[in-house]
Amino acid sequence: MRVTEYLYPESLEAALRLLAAPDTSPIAGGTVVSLEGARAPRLVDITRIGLDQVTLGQGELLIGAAVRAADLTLETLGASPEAMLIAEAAAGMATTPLRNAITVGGNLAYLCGWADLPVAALALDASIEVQQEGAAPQLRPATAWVAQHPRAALPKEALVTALRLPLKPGARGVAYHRFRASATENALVSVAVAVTVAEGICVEARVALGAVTPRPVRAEAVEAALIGGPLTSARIAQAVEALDVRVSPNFRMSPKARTRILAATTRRAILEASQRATGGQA
Amino acid sequence: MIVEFTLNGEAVRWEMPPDTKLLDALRVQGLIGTKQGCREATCGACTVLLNGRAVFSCALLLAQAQGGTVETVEGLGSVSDPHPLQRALVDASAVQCGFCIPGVLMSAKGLLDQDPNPSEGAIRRALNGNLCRCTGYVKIIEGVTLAAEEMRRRV
Amino acid sequence: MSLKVVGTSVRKVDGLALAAGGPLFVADEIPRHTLVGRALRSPHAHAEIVSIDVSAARALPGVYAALSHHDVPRVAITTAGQGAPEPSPYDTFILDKKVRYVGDPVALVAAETAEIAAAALKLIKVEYRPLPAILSIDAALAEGAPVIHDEPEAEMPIPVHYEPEKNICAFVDVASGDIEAAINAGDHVIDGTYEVHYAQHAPIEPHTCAGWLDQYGRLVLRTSTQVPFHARRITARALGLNVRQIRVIKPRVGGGFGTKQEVLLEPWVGALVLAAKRPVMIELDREEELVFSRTRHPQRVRMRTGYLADGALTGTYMEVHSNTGAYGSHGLTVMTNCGSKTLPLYRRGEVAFRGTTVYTNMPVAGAYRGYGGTQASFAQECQMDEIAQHLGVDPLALRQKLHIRQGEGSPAFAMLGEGKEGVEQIVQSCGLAECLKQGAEAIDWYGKRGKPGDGPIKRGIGMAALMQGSSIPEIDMASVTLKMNEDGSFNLMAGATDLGTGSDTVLAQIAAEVLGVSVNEMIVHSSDTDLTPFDVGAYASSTTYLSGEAARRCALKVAAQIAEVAAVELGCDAKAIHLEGGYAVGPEGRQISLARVGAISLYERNQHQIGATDSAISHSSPPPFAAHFVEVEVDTETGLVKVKKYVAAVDCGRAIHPALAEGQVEGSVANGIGYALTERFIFNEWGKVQNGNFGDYRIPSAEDMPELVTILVPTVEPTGPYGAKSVSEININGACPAIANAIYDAIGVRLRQTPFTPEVILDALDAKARG
Repeated sequence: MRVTEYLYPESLEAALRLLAAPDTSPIAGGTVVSLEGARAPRLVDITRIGLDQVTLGQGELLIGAAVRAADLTLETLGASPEAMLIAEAAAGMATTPLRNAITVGGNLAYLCGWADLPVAALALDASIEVQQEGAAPQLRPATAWVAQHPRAALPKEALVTALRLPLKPGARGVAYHRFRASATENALVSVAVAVTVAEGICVEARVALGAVTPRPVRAEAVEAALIGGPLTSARIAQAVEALDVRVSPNFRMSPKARTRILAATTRRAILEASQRATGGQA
Repeated sequence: MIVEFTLNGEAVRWEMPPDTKLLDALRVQGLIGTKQGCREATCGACTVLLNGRAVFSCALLLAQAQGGTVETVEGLGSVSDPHPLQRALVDASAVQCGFCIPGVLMSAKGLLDQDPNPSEGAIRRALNGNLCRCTGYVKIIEGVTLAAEEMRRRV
Repeated sequence: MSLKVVGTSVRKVDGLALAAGGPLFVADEIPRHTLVGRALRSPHAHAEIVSIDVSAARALPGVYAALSHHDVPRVAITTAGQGAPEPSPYDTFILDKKVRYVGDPVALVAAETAEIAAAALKLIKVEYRPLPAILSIDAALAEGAPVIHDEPEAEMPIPVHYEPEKNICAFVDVASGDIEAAINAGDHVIDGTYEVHYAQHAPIEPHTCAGWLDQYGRLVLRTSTQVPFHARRITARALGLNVRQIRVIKPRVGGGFGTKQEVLLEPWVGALVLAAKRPVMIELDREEELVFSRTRHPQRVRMRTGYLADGALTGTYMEVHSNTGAYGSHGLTVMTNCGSKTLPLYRRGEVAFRGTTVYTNMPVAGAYRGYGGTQASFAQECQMDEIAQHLGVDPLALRQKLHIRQGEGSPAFAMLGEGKEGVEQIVQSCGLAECLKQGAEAIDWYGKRGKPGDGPIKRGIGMAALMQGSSIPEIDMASVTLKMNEDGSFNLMAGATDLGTGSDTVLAQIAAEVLGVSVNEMIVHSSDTDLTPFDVGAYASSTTYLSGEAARRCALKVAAQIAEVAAVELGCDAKAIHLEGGYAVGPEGRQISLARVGAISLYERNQHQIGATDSAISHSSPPPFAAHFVEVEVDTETGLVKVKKYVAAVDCGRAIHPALAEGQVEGSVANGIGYALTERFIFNEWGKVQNGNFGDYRIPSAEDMPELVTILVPTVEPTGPYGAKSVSEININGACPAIANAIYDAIGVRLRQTPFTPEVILDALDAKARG
C-alpha cells in the first residue's frame, strides 16, 4: 500500500490519538513496513515518544516497546535471570543490522513463526502492555498473547507499549536455545526455559517452544513432569519424553526431524537452566 | 514529504514520497556507494549508519531518518584521503569484487565507534549481516583488526 | 634475476576506488532517463504458449516496450559464453513460444519506473497449455518421456552427439584401453555412486546490464559479464546485428563465479533498447539471480575402480549423468570436465569415461567455479577413502602413494577435451606431495584422526586431494596492448575480464616486472570491445596463466622498443640494455629514465608510439594441485555438522600476488563449505524452487566460517608466466569430499549424496542403528 502520510508524534498520548484515526498504523524499526509494505497509508512513528526506556520497578522489569533488539543486553537490562533470558533470546536474533532496527514491540506484535521475544515472554510469565486512546493500559499475559495472533485479538488502534517481566524470587535458572543450520537464519526450533528450585526440588518450570508451531506454545506436559523433584539429567530426559507438540510442516525440514531436534534442544535448554538455578549443583 | 537530516556531516533537506526507502533515496541523490544486492534485508550491501548504528537501508524508510544522522561510505573517505578502515581493507587484500565492501565498511565503523578494540568474535558478529562471496571473510576480518589498531594509535 | 613486483602483494589497482564506493558498477552510472527492464516469467515447468498478448502492457502510460516471442528474431543461440563455435547446443531464443522451467521468460517490458514495469507485467495475457514436466535425470531418460527441445532449430554447432528427441544434450563415451580387463585385474573392485545437488553462485551483485544506442546508432551494452567478446558475438547473432554494431563495456563486476559467463541479459536489453529507442537497464532481483540465472549442474557420478591389495589402482570407469536443466548451456563441457579434472590425479592404469547430459524442466545449469571438478571430486575423493578403509590403510598414505608426479602423464588428458579430444600432457610442476604433508601437519592429521570422543558431539577429520587446469588448451586466446606515455607510465589494455579476481592487478604486475617499473606506472583498462584487444574472458582458470602470458609477451616487445630508443641515447647496443627501477640501464652504469625515453619517442627524435599488442594461446592446461583437510563436529542428537577448522594447501605455481591468491583460496573454500552444508534448492512437487532468497538459501556469513588456514606451496610451472598456474577454481572442490570423509571419521557413516544437512545426518544415523 502506498504511504501518503508519515507522522512524528512527540508523546504517547499524541501517538494514540493519531492511531485512533482510520487508515493508520504504527511504524517502529521499519523492517516490516519496508519489506512487506505498509498496512495503512498513514504511518505513525512511535520511536520518539519515550517508549525506548528500560525501567526496573518493584519486582518488575519494564522494557519499552521501542527498545531495539540490539539493546537487550545485560548492561541495559540489569542482572537478573529474567534479563538473562531476554538477552539470550535477543542476541541470536537475525543479523546485527537487523537487531539495530528491530524493536521489542515489533517483534511481539508481528509474532511471526520464528520470533524470539514472544517465546521468552511465555517462559517468563510476562505481560504485554497495550494502550489505546481513551482506555486504561491493558496488560495481556503472554499465554493469551500467543493464543490468538494480536492482529486478530486486538483492535487496530491498539499499540504495544511495553514488555513487562515479573522478577521472581528464589533460585532461578533460565536458558534460551535455538536450532538452525547456519548462524543467522531463522530458527527451526527455539526453546526458552525458566525454572525455580527450592531445597533441591523444582518448584516452578516454564518451557516455551518457538518456530515449531504457527505461534509459540508452552510444553505443559514437560513442565508438569519437571515440577516436584530434583532437576537431574535423568529426570529432565524423562520429562522431555512427555513432549507432545505437533510440529508444523516447514519446507526447510521435515516435521519428523524437527520433532527429534526439538526434543534434544529442549532437554539441553532445561539442563542448562537447571544448572544455572542450582549453581551447577544439579 | 520533506525529510531533514544530517548526511555525512552535512545538513540536507530532501523532498520525496513518504514510502521512499532510504536505499533508493540515497542512490537517487547520487550516493551510489550504497549498493543494492537483494532488497530483502539479507545481503548487507546497502548497510549505512543511522544515528551511529549499522542498519540495512533497504529495510528502512527515508522518513525514519528525520532529524537524525546518516553516514554512508561516501562520508568515510575518498581515494585520495581514505579512512583507516578503507585503507586497511585494501591493504589486507580484503577487497576482491568490492560490491559488499561499502556495507562491510559501515558495519565495521558502527562496531569500532562503540568498541575500539573488538575481539575476532565481535568482528564476526558485527559483520554477520554483510554477505561476501569472494573472500571467505578471512581478509575482511584481518582488515578490520588492522584498522582498529591504526585507529587506536591515532587517538 | 630476482623478481621485484611479481610475488609481492601490491595494493590492488582498483582497491581504494572500490572501498571509496565510487560509481564503478553497471547500476551506479546509467544514462539519464534509463528505463527499467523486467521479464515476465513462467509459472509452469513445461508448457506451450498458446497465445500471448502484450498490447495492454504496451498501452500503459510509461511503458516504452513490451515484447513477446512474436516481437523478437527467432534465432537459436546458446547463452554459454564460450569460444566460437560454442560446444553448447543452440537451443535458446530471446523469447520462445514454449516454456521449459518455472521462471523461463515469456515477455519483456521496459518502463519508466519499476512500479510501472511491474504493473505492465500484470497486464500481459498468456494462455499456457501445460505439458508433463520432467523433474529428474531418470525421468528425462525414461522411455516415452516428453521431449523438452522439440523445436526444429535446436542444433549442436559442433560435430558431437546431440539427441534432443531423447532429451540428451550431450553424450561421450571414451576409453584408454580395455577397461573391463583392467578393472578385473584388481584384487578388489569398488563400485560407488555419488550424487551432488543444485547450487547457485550467489554473486552479491546480481546480473545487471544497461544498454543504449550511441550517436552512430550502435548498440552499447554496459554489463556485468565475464565474457565481453563472447557477449558481443552472441548478442549480435540473437538480434541479427553485425558484431561491429555492438560495443560491450565491462565495468567493475560484483562477482561472477561462472554465472556471468552466461549471455543472459545482453540480448534482452538489446531487444528492448531497439524497441523502445531509449536506454534500458535490467537488474535481476535476488530470486531471479538465485533460481532463474544459472546454477551448478547436479550430477550422479558412478565410479568403478579395480585395485590391488597394496592399494595400486588397475583401472577406473567413471560414468556421469549430468542434469543441465531446461537449456544445454555448458552441458557437454561441464560433463567432460568431470573426468578430465579428476581422473589424472592418480595413477589409475586404464581409464574410461561415459557421460550423459540430459535436459529436464528444472533450473538451468551453466558454468560454475569448479566446472565438473567439484562434482566428480566428490566421487573420486570419497571413493579413495572407501578404498583406504577397505584395505585398512591411512587414506592420506594411499593418496601419497598414488598421486601423479612431475614428469608423469595420464591417459585421461588426451581422452577428454572440450568439444573435441583433449591434449596429451606431461605434468611439469607438481607440489601435491608437499601440500599433503603441510596440510596434514596443520590439521594434526595423525594426532586427531580416529578420535570421535565420547559425548553426543563427535569429532572427525577428513581430507581430499584435488586438481584442476589452467585454461583450455588449443582453444583459449588472450591479448594485451601496452603503450608508453611521456612520463614513463604505460597504458595496459587487456581483454581479460577482472570480475573482482584481481586480474587487472596481476597483469599490471607481470608487465611491470618485465618493464622494470612499479605497478604505479601501469594504468589498466580492461574489457571494452571497442578499446581493448580480444580475450576469451574470465573462465576455465585461464586469466593469470594465459592473459598473464600475453601481458608478459607484450611487455617484452615494448621493452625491446624502449631499448632501441635508449641505445641511441646511451650510445650502446640495444641488446646491452636492461630495464630496472624505472631506467633503461646500459653498460658502465650509463642509464636513462623511462620518462625520458617516453618523451624522446613522442616529441623529440624518430618520433613514434612505443607500444605493442601481443597474444597468447595455450598448448597445455597445467593442473594446480591442492590438499584440503577439515575438522568437523557432528551433533548426533540434532544432526548438525559444524566445520571447526579447514586447511587448504595449494600448489598454484608461483603466486603472482600471494595475498590475492590466498583470497581466491579462501573465497572458494567458503563457497565449498556452503555447498556441502547449507546451500541447496528446495523444490516443490511442480518443480518450483521455494527458497529463492538469501534468508532460505544460506550462503556462509562471517559467523559461519571456521578457522581457515591457507598454505601456498610454491612451484614453478615452466609454461606459465613467471611460473604461475591457476588458483581460483580448484579450491571449491574440496569441501564436499573432505567433509564427507570427516563425517565418516566422526560417526562412521558414509554419505554419498550432498548436501550434509541435519536431516540427512539424522537419517543416516538411524539407518546405521538399524544396521
